[in-house]
Parts: sequence; structure tokens; C-alpha cells
Amino acid sequence: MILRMALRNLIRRPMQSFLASGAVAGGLTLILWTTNFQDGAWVLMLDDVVRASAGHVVVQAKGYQESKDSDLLVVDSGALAEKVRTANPEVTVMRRLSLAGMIASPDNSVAVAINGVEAEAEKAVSQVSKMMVDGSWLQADKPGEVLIGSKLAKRLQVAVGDKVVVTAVHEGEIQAMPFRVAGTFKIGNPAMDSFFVLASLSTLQEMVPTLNDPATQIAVQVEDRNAPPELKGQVRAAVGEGHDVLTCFEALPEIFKMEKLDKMGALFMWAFLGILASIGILNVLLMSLFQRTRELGMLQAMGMRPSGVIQLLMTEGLLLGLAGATLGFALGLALTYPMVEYGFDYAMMQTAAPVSGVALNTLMKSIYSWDKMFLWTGFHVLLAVLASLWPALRAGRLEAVECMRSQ
Amino acid sequence: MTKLFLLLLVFSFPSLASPPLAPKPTAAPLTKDQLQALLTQVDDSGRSNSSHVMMSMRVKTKRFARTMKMETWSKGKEHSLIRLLEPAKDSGVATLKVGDKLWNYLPNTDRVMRVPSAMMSGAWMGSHISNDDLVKEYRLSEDYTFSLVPGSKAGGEETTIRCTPKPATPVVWGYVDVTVQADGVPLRQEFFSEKGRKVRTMTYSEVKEIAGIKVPHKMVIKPEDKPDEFTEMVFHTMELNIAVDESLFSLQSLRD
Repeated sequence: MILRMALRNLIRRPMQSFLASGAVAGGLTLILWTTNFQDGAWVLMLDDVVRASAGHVVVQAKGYQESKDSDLLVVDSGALAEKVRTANPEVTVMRRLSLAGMIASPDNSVAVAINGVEAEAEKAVSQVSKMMVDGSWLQADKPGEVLIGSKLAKRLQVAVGDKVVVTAVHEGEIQAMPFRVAGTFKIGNPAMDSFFVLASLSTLQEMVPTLNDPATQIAVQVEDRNAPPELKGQVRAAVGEGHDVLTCFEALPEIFKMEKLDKMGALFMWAFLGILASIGILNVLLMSLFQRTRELGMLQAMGMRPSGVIQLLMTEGLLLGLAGATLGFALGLALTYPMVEYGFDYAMMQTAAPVSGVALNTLMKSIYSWDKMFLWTGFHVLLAVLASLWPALRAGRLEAVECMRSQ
Repeated sequence: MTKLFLLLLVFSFPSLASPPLAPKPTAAPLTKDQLQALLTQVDDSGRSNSSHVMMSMRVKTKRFARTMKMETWSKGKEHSLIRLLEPAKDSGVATLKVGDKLWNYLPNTDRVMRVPSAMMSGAWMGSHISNDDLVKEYRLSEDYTFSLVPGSKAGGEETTIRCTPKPATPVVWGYVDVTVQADGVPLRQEFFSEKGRKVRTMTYSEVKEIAGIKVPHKMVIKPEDKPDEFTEMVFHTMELNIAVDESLFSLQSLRD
């Protein structure tokens, strides 16, 4: 009976009902679409960063994590990597060597970050390999080659095949070597396109002649996005003491903090948005209360108890919330679909920042965060009911006689 | 970078170990050994065990023009110290080189700063010479292959030798054309890219004999892509093979 009366009341004022539930639906649509996009973007971004700059577990020299001192290197890295492979044949193990230095051509010289990588293994995880604009990726059998960003190539006035000289410093000792430009890439970020240099690990190791088979890190990666918790222990057992063995959460704390901060900020913003939408319902019900004072008095005169009036108003709020939430859920799902299937390529955004010095896939895709979608939908229905509480209580306090006098 | 002869006077002085005699002017083509002997003389040109030089450097770029006076000391190949005397606002600014390491001292902030690798590409004192130029040294006679430049008149007063870096030599140039007097004193170096584009020219003049060593007293560096720019270095007084205490080349003396 209450439900039927509430439904009839809402239908009697179609525009008001539509606006109130529309506000809920609009807000919820935006929240669901953005939540799914944000979650999708973070999943892809974290996967890129973890794979390209560390690994699910990473082995580093003791103290490197705190100081980031490029002189702190793991020695005999090939033998250590082999031990990890033997202990767990399922994982991918790759080594990287990062040095600060300079690259020079006849026309210019530029301070750069030089990264020595295992060509084939790195190609599988690095987005840079998909962003080549000229030439080709590093070849294992052509050690004296480098890949440079398109902006750096422009500054140096060099093209594929040209000679450049790379100078690196380790423990104060300067080493220089000639290289050929194998290819140029365009990530879309000015910093990375200007200062990021890739060379083969074995060649770059020659610039650290005082150490045997040095590497900045040994990265251990699994196929899934998340590594099993026991992986760190397995790697630790394989490499023994004397090195730092860290999970990606320990090795890249900034990026995971950034994720938490970003999601926390969005949570507050969206909660605020939900509250704003619920104010729409509050407004509609209050307006309805003022317009129906005489009618409500009549209902009480006919025997409806104040609790019945409260129930009626709250049911109207619930119905408005349910309608808006259902519509918002459907629209949010519909708008998320193309973002899941096709995504959004932000390559044209030249000022996009690299994260932790890693080239990110510019194609961002949403994911269906079902748990969050249902939570947000439920939250909006709850907000609608809460928003109707005050008008309902106010209606419940009305005196029938006073109401009947109302025009 | 290829060795910068006058900079070597300032920055590095390997001992002069009986340089080979220059080939006598002759109409016959120079042999490979004779070319190498000439280049060895160029490599060792003006070198001594130690030095004390008063010099000036004039730098003109499209943004500024400035002239600096400097006092320099060197000992062996590894040690050198340069201190600015003028202009007054920069007086006391100093650069110390020990081996392949560089430090700068800025009196305004009373700070000694090791030049990091990231700044090695920066211009030294705003000139057309980079910090990296100061610390790198390669010998034309050893790190390059060489031949007479096609069309060059061999055995005359001047000989132009094309020096091509060996594959493992970490220099950016495709080749360097070195023009040298019959007595081994360099006159000009022209630096080319691998594609044969001239990038930089260094000319040497005002050759004077100091302590039995012929030394060009003026050097001009001109980048080819900026025809209005140059760096000119002139030596006013020069003492070679003098007693210089090694303690002069310390971080402490950099501040003094």
C-alpha cells in the first residue's frame, strides 16, 4: 500500500522525480566510469612500472635502495641470475645496469641516464620497444649500439647509423666508448625522449672495468600481474645473504603510495559528488512536502499514523534512489564498455609524465571493478534514503488539523 | 675529443721524451713513418714537465662577449690548476684537474664542487670548450689512423694530415684534418663529422720558442654552425719546466 502510494506520488510529479533520480544517475555514472578507468589505468601503469623498472622481486646491492648510489652494484650478476632461474624455472630473470653519464656527437653533448639491458628480455617488457620511430631494437649480436629518444637525436643531430660517444662515471672513474645509433624512439614525454639512453648490458658493463659482471639490479618477474608471496623467499634463498632482496612494493614504494593517494583523493571527491546528488533528492522531497501538506493532513485525518507518513516519504526517497542508481549503474556500465574494449590512447598528450622513469603504455584501458561498482551503487541508494529522512521526520511531526488549514 | 693543444699546455703536461725529429722538407711523398713522426710532434707540441702561464681567454657567443684573464699551473700530465684574475667579479674562480677529475671553486659561495658527470658536457667558463674536452686526451699518432689529405702538398712548409679515429677510440669526429708546419708545430685542426661536414676549426698562431720548445701562443676555436662565435686563448707569459709543488694541486689550494 505504502509502496503503491509512493510510486503514484513520484509519477504525479514526473519532472521533479526525473531530475532527482537523474542527478543520482548522472553522479553515479560518472563515478563508475571514472572508477573503472582509474583502476584500469593503475593496473596497467603498475604493471608497466614493475616490469620495466624493477620486477616482482628485485635483487640489488646492499644500501642501493636507500641511497640510489649508482656506484653500488651487484657483482657476478650473471651467476646470481642463473641461480634464481635454477631455483624457480617459471620466472623470468633479467639484469639491468644504470649509469649516469653523457652522450656526445660532433654537434653537441648531453647529460643522460644510460641503461644497459639484456636486449631480448627487455624487449618483452619495455614499452620503448613499441615506440620506435626509426631503426630497430637492440640486437644481442650487435653490442656497440644504443637507442636514444627522438628529442635527444635532434639535439645531437644524429640519425640511425651515426656514431656517438657515451661517457659514464663509476666511482669517479670516467670511461668513454663509441657507439652507433641503432634506433630512435618517441615516448611522448620530453624528459624521457631527451635523456634516456638504452644500450646492451654487456657493452655497458665494459664501462665498469673494476667489477666483474656488474648490474644495478636483477629483476625477477612472473607472468601474472601479482607475484606469489613466497617468491621473495625463494629468490633470497637462491642468491644468499649479501644483497638486498625486495618485493616491488619495497623497491618502488613511491609508485604504490602514489596509487593510494590518487585513489584516496578520488574517493573523497566521489563521496562528495554522491552527497551532492542526494541533496537533489532532499530538495525534491522537501518541495513535495510543502506542496502536499494538506494532502498529508488528509491522510492523517483518514487514519494514517505519523510513522506511516514517515514510511511513505522514505519509500519515495528509496524509489528515487533505486531508480537513479539503476539508471546510473546501467549507464556507467555502458560507458565503461568501449573503454574496456578499445581504451584511450593519450599519446597526443606530450606533457604526460613518465612514472618512476619508465615509459608507459599510452593506451589506457578500463577494467570492470565490480566490487566498487556495487558498493558505489549501494552507497547512492543509502544516501537517497538518508536524504529522505529529514523531510520524512518533518512530515511525521505535522498535525492533521494544521495541515488541513494549509492551502 | 681530440686533444686541444693549447689546453694541454694548461691542463696536462706529459713529459717530453725526445720527440722525433720533423721530416725535412722534400718534394717526395711522406712515408707513413714520417707522417707519424709529424703527428707525434703535434701530440707533444708545447709539452713540458711543468708550467706557469698567464693567459687571457676571449669568448664571443650570440648572447654575450667576455674576456677573462687567468693564471695557470701544471705539473705532469695529471695536475693542473687555473685561477681567474679578471674580470673582478669572477676573480678567484678556480678549476682544478687531477687525473680525469675536475673541481670548481666559486668564491662567492665559498664552495668547492666536483664537476659531476652530468655537467661534463657543460661549457667551461662559458667558452666553446666543454669540461669534457679538458679531461679527455687522445693522441693523434696512436689513437687515429692517418694519411695525407688528398691534394695536400706533402713535404712543403705545411702538411695537412687526415686523422681518422680507430674504431675503439671514443671520439665523436669522423676525421680530423691537421695542418702542421714542417717543424711539427700545429697550425690548424679541422674537425669533421662522419658525413664529412666540418663542425669546428681550431687555428694556432704566434709561435714562440720557450725553453727550447716551440709553442703557439694563440688559439682560436670557431664552431662552423655559428660563424659569429669563437673562443680565443692567448698566452702572455709562459714558464716551462719550472719547479711546481704538487701540493698546489689540492682542494685546499683551490680556495687560496
